[in-house]
Amino acid sequence: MLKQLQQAMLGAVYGDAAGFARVVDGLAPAAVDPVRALYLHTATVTAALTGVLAQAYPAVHAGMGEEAFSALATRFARQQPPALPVLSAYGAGFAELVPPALQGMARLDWAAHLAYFAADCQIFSLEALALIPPDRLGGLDLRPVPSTSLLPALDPAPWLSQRPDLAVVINPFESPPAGALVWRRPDLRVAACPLTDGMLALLNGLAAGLGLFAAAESALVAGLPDLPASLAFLLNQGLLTRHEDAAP
Amino acid sequence: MRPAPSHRPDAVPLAAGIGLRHAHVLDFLTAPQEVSWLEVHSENYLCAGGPRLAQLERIRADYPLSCHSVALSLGAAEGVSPDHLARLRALYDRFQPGLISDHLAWCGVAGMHAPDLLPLPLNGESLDVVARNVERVQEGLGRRLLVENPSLYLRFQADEMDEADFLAALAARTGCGLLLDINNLYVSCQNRARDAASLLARFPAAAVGQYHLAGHTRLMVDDAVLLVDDHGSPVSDPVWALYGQALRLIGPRPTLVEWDTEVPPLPVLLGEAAQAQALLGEVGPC
Repeated sequence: MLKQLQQAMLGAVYGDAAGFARVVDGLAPAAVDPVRALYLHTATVTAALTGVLAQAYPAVHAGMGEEAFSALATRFARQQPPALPVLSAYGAGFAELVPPALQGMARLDWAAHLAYFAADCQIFSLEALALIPPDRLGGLDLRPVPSTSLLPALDPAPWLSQRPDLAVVINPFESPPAGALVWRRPDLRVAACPLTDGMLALLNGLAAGLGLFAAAESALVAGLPDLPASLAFLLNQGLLTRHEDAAP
Repeated sequence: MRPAPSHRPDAVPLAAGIGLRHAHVLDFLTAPQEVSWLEVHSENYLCAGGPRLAQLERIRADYPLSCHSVALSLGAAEGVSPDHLARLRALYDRFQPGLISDHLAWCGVAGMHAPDLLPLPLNGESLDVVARNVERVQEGLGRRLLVENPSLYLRFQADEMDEADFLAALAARTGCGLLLDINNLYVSCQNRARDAASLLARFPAAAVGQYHLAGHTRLMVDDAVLLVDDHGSPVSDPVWALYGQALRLIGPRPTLVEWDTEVPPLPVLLGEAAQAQALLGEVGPC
């Protein structure tokens, strides 16, 4: 009995009319119409998930306006309710529903959201690099920190203008921009900057576990102009960790 | 002034505390605040890393902590999620809260979660389910759980008992404690045409380990009043009066003031906690 009631009530709070009717059939009369009282739970769930999505997608929220965003969030919540009671993980597919003009912003918003909650790890510093024997440098297994997102073909500049909460990092190797880099810095602020093809290739190579020299080679082929300075930029921004130091 | 911060105080004292909200974190990181202990919503800290956990680590070093979860789904007929239990266990092992609690409610089935405290009929079948779940939770977390009476807006035809009888039976069966939310008790009784004072008198005093206080709002629905537990205003006068009655009947317990929507500046919330502290002081120690 309880299991059936709970399935019906879960349907009811996500807008299923049949489930709503089944729950109402089992309610006792009260001063407030039980239909209206049950609807309070539907409204609570909708408002909570709209708030969660608005926090995860602030630039999209600002771009769409309150009313349109709430309508879309309600639709998304009913199509894809959370599977887990960990709401910081909720909303991955929302970007696919937003208007095409805002989909790039949605992907960047989500990358920033993931960066905020990503695992901590030991940062590999420029000083640590200096301690590596020259004959070990080539095979050094550095990886982007867990908070890193690489978003090809997205210029982050318009998005960053909507996100004063983020750190804007000047990347001396960002022109011509081929994509966006989003990560969490060692000071725990989420940051973003544009990326060139060469830098993108370097980070993709490292993320694939190529080893430092092989990743560098792919970056040079992609047009990276200054490998030592690029590597110094990544290390100074807290973007790299040794593979064995990355959180599981 | 609050005493100089100590190192990682563990026990939640017999005093008034407040719910730590994101809007006030910076206040706590930049200066000691005059409050005896803090409570957080556990699920807000279930993340792999980042600022929230780092900030809580710093604050935890100076304040006793209670962890209040909202998604154990103690009333779920399918049982509690072992994955969620494991997540909470890891959080509690890390932060060592002095108290842990959740609600007499449920919030999901079969891989689908609803962010609300959904009610269940108060009857024997539900009691069996909740008791089984509470036992599993206490075993999985390795700690005694306090179970909170939620705000209720519905009555089921299948109800066989009231909250006081249900929670007393639950505590007797499982050894869990109770978190008596005075505002929820008031809201539920108003919405369900019950007398809050007489219900309060039937809560098992020995099991009550903590009080919650919060504000609520009044909605006019057609021609009837519905009280909504929105935690968005000061504690109301009737709830303060009911709290005073609880202190006399049940005794002083750690008391938390919650404020979750339209969160005011920290001094306003601290003022509410000071009022609770004054009432606690009138009753004296257990």
